[in-house]
Amino acid sequence: MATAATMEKAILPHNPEDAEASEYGGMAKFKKDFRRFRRNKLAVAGLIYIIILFTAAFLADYVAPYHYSTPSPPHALETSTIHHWFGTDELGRDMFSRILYSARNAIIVSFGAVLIGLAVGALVGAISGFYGGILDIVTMRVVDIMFAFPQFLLLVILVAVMGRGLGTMFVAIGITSWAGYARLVRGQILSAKNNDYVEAARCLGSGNGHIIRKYILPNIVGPIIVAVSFGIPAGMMAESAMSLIGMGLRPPMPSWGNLISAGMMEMYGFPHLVLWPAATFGVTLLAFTFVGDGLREMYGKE
Amino acid sequence: MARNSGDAGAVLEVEGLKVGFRGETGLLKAVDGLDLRLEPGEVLGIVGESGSGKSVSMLSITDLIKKENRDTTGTASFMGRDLVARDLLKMGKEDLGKIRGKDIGFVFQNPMSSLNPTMRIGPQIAEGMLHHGEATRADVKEKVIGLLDKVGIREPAKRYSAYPHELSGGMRQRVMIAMALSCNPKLLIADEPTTALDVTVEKQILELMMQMKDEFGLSIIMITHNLPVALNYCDRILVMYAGKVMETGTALDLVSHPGHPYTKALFSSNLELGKRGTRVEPIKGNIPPLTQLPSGCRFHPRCPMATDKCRNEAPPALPVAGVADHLTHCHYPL
Amino acid sequence: MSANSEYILEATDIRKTFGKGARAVKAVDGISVKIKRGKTLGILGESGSGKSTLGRCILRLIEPDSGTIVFDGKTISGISQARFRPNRRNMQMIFQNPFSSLNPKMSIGEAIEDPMKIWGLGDKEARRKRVRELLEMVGINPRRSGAFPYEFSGGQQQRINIARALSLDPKFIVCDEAVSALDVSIQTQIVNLLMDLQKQLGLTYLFISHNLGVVEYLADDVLIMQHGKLVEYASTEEIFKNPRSEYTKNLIASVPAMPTPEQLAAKEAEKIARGKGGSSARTAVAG
Repeated sequence: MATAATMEKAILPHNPEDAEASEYGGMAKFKKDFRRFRRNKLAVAGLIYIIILFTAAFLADYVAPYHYSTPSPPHALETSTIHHWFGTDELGRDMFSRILYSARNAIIVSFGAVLIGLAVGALVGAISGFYGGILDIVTMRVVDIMFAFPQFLLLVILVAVMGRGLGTMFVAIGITSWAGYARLVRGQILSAKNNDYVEAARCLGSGNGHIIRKYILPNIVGPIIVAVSFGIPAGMMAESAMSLIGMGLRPPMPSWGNLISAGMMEMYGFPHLVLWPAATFGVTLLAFTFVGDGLREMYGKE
Repeated sequence: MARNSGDAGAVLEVEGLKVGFRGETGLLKAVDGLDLRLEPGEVLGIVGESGSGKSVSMLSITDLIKKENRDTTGTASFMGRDLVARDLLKMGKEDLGKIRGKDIGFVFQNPMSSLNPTMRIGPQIAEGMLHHGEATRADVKEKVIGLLDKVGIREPAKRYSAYPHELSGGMRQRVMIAMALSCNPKLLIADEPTTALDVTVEKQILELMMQMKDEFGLSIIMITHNLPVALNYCDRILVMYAGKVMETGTALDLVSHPGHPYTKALFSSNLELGKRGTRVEPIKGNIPPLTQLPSGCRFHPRCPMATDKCRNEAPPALPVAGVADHLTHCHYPL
Repeated sequence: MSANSEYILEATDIRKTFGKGARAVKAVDGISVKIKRGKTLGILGESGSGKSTLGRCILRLIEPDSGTIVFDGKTISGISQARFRPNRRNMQMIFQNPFSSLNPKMSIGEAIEDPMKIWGLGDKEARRKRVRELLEMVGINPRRSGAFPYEFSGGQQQRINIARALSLDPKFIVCDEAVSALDVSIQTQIVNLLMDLQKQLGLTYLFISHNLGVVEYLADDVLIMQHGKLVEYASTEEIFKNPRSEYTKNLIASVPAMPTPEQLAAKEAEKIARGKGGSSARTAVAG
């Protein structure tokens, strides 16, 4: 059944022939696409939140009222006060600061993990998809094996082997996620390869490198960016899951995961210990998800 | 030359049909004022290029385009088998569903995407017939095989169990026609039925449709961009451009005396056989996008005879050469 | 091997089969062509005739199974893709679907400039200037060079494709159903453009199509294909005035021709005689 949208596409060919001096290159197009992103209010709100969070998290040393491990026993287990917006924990440490530092750690871990996963996965997927043949067959079987493994179990094993710590955490998460990116990139390249404009480029004498760089990559960037924007909250969740079972970042290093798991134990007596970490974590995950939706709308239509 | 008064009235009478789509860029007026009248046993051709609104008009009145973001006004009075005239645009989904596929049959351009590739063709046709109560489980297979035979498919009993991909393009289109005819419709809407077919097959399919028209006592609306096809097979023709009707008349009217510059230009710019050695002049310019429709007469930017009046005022319907049923929407009928 | 000045392209006994064993399809089954410089050879055939495959084999976008191709005096078949590559500057293709032939992420200016960049022709200034010239030549406003393909209509997109194909100054262009996806009134525009460019630049065309009217209009010679085999091969006049094979005769007879008023009047009369009544009342002066 035709929808208004498809009919619109079918009957709406183009903009008029106005004599407009437009620049070469993609900036104008990006601005046009970004307008689509802006239309999604939730995505914009999410983006603003993320920008604020980022700045605060990376300037944590200056922004946070206290260091995350500064104890203050006389003020232990206080709920929100002027000095401690989110209250204090059992050692009198400021919750707000601890949450801020956990945000920083979460960002480092999740971004690091996505970077590693994407770098490895995209490279593998691209080569496999573009060149095909026996290389592709073998590579995809390896990817299948990765998928067959329970991701969480693999994560636990890796952390047990490599030790707990910020660096090992994101490497481990990266290792468990590359397969997903490989499949995505390979699929994108396979379909992009079949496009008429790729054949046209070949006909014009373009070599493989040029085709990948200018004809394939720009056209697959969309779905990959969307995947990345969903991969980040996934990475954060993975880290906090590890913390919940006691294999996350070592205290006193705060992470949302260990703040929540510690707070859960005091939930009935001192709910603020779990409320603030959980709420801020939830909002952060939502923000990334909304941005992901916005990006998907931006890159969706062509 | 009295009007054929076989049946009580028109099979389909459309008045003032306007279809607009609320899109990102505003309201797109895909069809802006269509009137048509289809008599029993008549073949009406709607001829136009992309953006003319030819398909949108017929798909809108039969609710084959999603209602969301679609604004439709006007009336479309259809007389079903029970000889009661009803306004299709005012009918609910359920009632329309009873008419679609039964009183109104459809043949679309691409049979491969209109047929379910995972189902054998016989059962596909049977499904519709059972749904509309045209056959019982006991006799439906026999009826379908009879239909397949009628549309010229050889070894119909064997082909009953064939999958669409096992058939050639021409045969698939014959299956579509069989499906359209299976519930004894009064009206057949064919939207570019032969555009995707080879020219030798096209002729066969068009002849088949004419044959079926006579045999089943149908009326046909044929939507096409192919002017010679329309002229050869249709009794009356509507020429559309950018959502508006440019000219209506019988095929003979249009050929002997085209009344609109667009129609005339379509004739002269057509690359048919026998033009070798001449310079065929095309229509200058491009079809306007629906977001930037010209004021006044929609064709004026490309019309060699355009005047200020054409730029400012939408032209009325005027008769051509004194024939009341041959109308042109031009300030200066040819 | 010296350049034969009469024939720019000679292909001999080209064969291409797809699939294996019982499922094998002989797409091109021993076709030979000779195309004169500055002329147009039309390849006419219905779907499944193999005409598009033939075009791609000649440009080595698909590798033929066997046969020789000599372009401008040089044998270009049977050599590696790497050695063949320099010839791509002289042999280009225009595809059927105007929109999908253009990279949606490149502005039309970049798209036309890209081939020149690939071959290292000229500096940025010179290339940009040539892009403007090419756009003018094909009838697109050069100031729209920063616009993207989706901003143009089908006919305009095909003009852009033509400009891009011309950017390397080729001698030979294969048009694979180049106007089939366009509106009828636009088809004539593009066909006339191709013919004008041929005169202006001395191009040679291989024009693949299923549309007899278009091929008769613009081709000098015509080769008719069916199921991969050659049916008839002669000058356009010969093929259309004196078709020899039944297939060709049937093809020509099947094309719906513009009826004359006399034919239509006779049809009306016949219908009235058969008692089906004329079309809707003509209330006034009868012709």
